[in-house]
Amino acid sequence: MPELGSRKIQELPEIKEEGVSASASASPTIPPSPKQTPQRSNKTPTSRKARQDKSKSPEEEVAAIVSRSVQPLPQAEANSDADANTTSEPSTPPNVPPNVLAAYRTPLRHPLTHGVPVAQLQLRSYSVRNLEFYADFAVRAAFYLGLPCTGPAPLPRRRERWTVLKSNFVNKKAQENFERITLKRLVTVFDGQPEVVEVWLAFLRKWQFYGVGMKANVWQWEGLDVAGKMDRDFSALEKELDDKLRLFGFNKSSADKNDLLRIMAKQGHRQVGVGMSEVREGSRTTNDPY
Amino acid sequence: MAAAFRAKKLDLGGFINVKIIRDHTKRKVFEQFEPQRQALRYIIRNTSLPQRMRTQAQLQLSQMSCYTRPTQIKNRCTMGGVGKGVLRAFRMGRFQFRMNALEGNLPGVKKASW
Repeated sequence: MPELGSRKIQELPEIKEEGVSASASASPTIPPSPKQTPQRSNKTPTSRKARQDKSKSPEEEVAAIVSRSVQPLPQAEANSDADANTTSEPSTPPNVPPNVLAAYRTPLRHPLTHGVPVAQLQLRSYSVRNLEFYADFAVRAAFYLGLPCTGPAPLPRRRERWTVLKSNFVNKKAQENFERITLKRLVTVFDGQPEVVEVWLAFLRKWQFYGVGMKANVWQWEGLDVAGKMDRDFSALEKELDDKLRLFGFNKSSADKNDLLRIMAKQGHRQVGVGMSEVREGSRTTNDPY
Repeated sequence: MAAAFRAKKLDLGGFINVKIIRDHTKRKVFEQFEPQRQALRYIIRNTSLPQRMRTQAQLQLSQMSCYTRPTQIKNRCTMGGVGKGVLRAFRMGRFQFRMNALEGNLPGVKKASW
């Protein structure tokens, strides 16, 4: 069950603008975010209560929470921007930015729309802490890119063991055991555009974490006319490809080696009374290539 | 013979002694002559070729330097040059492996107890 608190924070600005558009039309768009921070921190306990007493669907719940949090807003707007922060009750917990607050909660997820897996990210590490941290990061990144995902699912651990003699010479009875456990986590992404999945993977690559290895399997849909599409893509790539291909080829010294007439003369034409084996003997080079 | 094969410049990192250099030379020579060996092997095994040619190829193959054989290559400890008890995963002899594992130089390797 994902926490709904930080989702509420996300949706607040839009709904506030809709509901209080008449009064807030003149106010600039930037101020609302600092003003809402106290509101949010106040509302966190109430949202928990709301979830406990009502077992509604998440969307209804969010709507209810938002409607509650929106009502006090016009009063807050009456105050100037400067004292909006100070007007919050002194007994309330300190103002925490929503992004910091979200880090303390379970990562949010989008529900699956079609359930078609498009990418699987496998994370491997010898350290649980690094792995758990980075898997969490990957899930959060997927949420903010709008990708529904499942996981991190733990995969079977790979346990390697070595037994070596303790001494550098003889004494077989004194041995020591060592082991290395590779932990794995799997994050599966569903129903994403290929470009978005690429962005997600690039982002994870950019912020890759020490001691955590990554492997991604990506699946894409392709039309029936794959060859036609490749031909069209090729025309766009042609110029870049030519620049690369210009660097390959035969050098000048091999020009005479590849002369067709010369090769034929070397082989000798098949004539009356000359067996094919003779021709083949002549064509074979027995020179040492080195 | 072997000195003729030896590279002017060694691309070796880590421990070096004469055995390591010899093994390095063997690896290089094998890599260089592998296509030739494979061609000769193909000729020897191809029954559609004339017997004379196949026998010649056999002779040539057997006359190639022993350094061109893959069986000459031996994994040695990169830290101490030891030839026996080398762990493939770490390319280290067992004692070097133990010292490094206890020092914590090998990521993820711990003392096991079960």
